Amino acid sequence: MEEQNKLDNFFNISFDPKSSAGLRTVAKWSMVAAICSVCGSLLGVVLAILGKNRTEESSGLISYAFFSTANVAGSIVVLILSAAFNYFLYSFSVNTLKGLTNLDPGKLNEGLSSLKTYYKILGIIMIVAMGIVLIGFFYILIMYGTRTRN
Amino acid sequence: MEDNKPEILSDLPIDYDAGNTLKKILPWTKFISIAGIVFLGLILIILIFTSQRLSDSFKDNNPDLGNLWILSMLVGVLVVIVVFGYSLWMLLRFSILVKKALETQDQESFNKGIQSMKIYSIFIGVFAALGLISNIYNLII
Repeated sequence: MEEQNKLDNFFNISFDPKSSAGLRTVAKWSMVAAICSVCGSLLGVVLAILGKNRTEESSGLISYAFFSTANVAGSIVVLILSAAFNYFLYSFSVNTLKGLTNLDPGKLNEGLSSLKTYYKILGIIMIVAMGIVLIGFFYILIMYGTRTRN
Repeated sequence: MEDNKPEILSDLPIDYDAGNTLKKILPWTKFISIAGIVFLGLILIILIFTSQRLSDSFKDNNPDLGNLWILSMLVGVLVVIVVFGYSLWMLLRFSILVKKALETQDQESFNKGIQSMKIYSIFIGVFAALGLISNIYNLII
């Protein structure tokens, strides 16, 4: 009974003209962010490849070639990750704009669902990044501790 | 010639699916914003404690550059931290206000939450565009 009341209560708030206009702006800027991020990552790969060519020309050291290859590989991984999670941001903006324009709750739900996936992926990436930063922080602390003892 | 594009004629109600999806988005946006603000705070603390050492080492490596240049660089970093912090605060505000709106059925809070999300998304769009411009600049130079 209580659950049924909760379900009915969702109808008491809506995307009125003010919030619809706000959500429309959110969707448009999200599209800009998604497209710019993927293009930026793509350019990052190009920059890494060009950087690699320059270092190979300027020096014959294996370590330089290794680091440039790692740089290219890293930028490709960033591109794949960026394309994967920005796809959901793009999907959110396209479906939300369609839903708001045609007053289609189904499309709006699809858009919100994509936004949920986007934030979930972003949150997981953030947890992993925080873990790496914490490990690095403790590593520096341990190194600093052993250095001061010696 | 008349514009055939449909306009927003009435409200689009939040049904069970949309409300449920919004409820699932909120914990993630809250986590991302709080973690981001804490991270920026840590950077700020590290910057405060190491600013003297950083400026000394920078002076050693670039003796031609004056104190004003170093100061302007530090101010630039501070501005970036404040701008990022503000955008993350907007994301946190979105999650707080929309959660309150869904719990109390308050349309005003919901609208304010969406407005906060709007500001956050504008910042994200501008940051992404600046990143792209910077990459294009690096490619040309």
